[in-house]
Amino acid sequence: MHCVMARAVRRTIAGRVALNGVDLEIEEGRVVGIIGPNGAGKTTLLQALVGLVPVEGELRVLGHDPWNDRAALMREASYVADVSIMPRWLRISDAVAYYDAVHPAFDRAATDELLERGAIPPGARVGTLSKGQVAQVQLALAMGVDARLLVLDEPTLGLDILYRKRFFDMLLTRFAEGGQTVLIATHDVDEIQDVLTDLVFIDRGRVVFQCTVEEYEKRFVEVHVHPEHVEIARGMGPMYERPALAGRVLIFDNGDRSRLSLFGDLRRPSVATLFAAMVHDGETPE
Amino acid sequence: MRIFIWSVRRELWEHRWVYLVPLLFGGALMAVAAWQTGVNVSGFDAVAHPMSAAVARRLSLGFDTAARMNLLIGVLVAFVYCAEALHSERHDRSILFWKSLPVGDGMAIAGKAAVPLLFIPALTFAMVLVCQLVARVTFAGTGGHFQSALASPSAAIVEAAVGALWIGPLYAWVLLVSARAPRAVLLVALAPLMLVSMVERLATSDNTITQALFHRGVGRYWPRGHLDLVGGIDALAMAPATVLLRSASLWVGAVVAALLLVGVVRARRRSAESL
Repeated sequence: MHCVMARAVRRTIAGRVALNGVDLEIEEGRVVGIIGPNGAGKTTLLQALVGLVPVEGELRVLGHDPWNDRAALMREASYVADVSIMPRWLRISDAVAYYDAVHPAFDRAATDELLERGAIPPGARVGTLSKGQVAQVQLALAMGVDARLLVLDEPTLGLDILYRKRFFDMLLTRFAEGGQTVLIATHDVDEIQDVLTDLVFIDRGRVVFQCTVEEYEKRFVEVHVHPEHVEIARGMGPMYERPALAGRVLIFDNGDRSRLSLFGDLRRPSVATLFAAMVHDGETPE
Repeated sequence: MRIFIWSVRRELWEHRWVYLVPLLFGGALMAVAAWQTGVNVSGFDAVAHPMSAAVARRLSLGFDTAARMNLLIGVLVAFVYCAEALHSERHDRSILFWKSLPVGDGMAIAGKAAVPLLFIPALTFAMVLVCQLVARVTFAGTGGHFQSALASPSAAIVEAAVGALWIGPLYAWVLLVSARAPRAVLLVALAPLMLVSMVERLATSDNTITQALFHRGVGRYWPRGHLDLVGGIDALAMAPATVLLRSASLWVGAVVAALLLVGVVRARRRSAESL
């Protein structure tokens, strides 16, 4: 069953096109990285998926129309944005009690245990905690919800590398193991690419590329080419190249690996590099 | 019902002053009334020197004022709350957090509207009850008793409920502005009302609209001696709650309030778009 089904989804904000005909299908149980530069439309897309903003076109999430059926959708979905959206006046114990009261799929014991493990004082207000502690609170609340879909929009923005790692390790492992669907937009895509099952590249309001991680690993390869062999390698039709120390790195889509290996060690390009390659649409910057 | 109650609780967590201010100021007013009246009734004795009804009426003025001021403080607090209720969650972006939970905009607005329309009236009713109790104790053994339009629990509860319904359209208007205005909500809410008043004044040299707005707002509980502020007393606004309850004006206002609240729900639904 499709967890997300979007057809020609479009949204304009004050005359600026934020989503320009997004077509997207995501099966249940996938861990999908939504990747794109600032202003590409990632946040707008994720907000549309959880019913925060209206869109034109056809959009169904877990069978719901998110805009007209947000409350029902959020019984089955969980949305986590950056730490700054948690109200500073809110007491942690009150946040847990509120979740417990209004969310039918909330397991209070699980959240309490995580908060205790993180040494978060229940009586503390959000405004008195550090960014890392607020992230732990968000994590504990999100993990307490037995959601079919978890939507993460830059959840670790402003956090240091240790917190980012802990956040993703706990959250993504738990949700991925539980067979739930996770959609995640983050700038730190290289940190999470190992747990992703699917990649969605978005640029200027459009989905420019979508594939499974298996396909990505199979199709794309990068090779560090010595300057004197660059012209020969270029003859094999790289989709993108970038400068590197002592030579250039060329990226190939379905390249002949046995021939390419003659130029040097073959590697899988990072997701960020592949994104740059896709967005440049084959142009090779000099 | 469970989600509604928790929605109201969540409002009170955020705006604790909604109950602290009435408790603090109402308590202080009551203490002053009790002290002042206590001094004045000390010479009376139910057997030897009973208090006459006329004197009791005069000496009840302190408690009567305290009870009315409780209602006035409640109204002022309700207006400030309405101005903050939707603006603050947009201002600090916490609306994204609240909307990540399975609580619809209709329920969220019901919780917010319940604060000025149910919670504050209930709180002020409780404060008036305490005022009645303290007055009874103060007058005990003097032969007199507390005389006021708010002297009985039934009168107090009807007044608190009808008063909230009477002011309801203005509460709903401020909530609507709170859901839309980028800043200075009370100023933005008052601006069109003041503009209408000014145009009326310039065009007709009259202030009927100004009076009507004032009496729809705080006029019912404004100290009687200072009603010249807007040119006098509006008979309907000052009528007993039971009379007001039978007036078309009250129910037309209730319908307007309901329509404005529908507008507030629609406005909140689109609140996340501008973040």
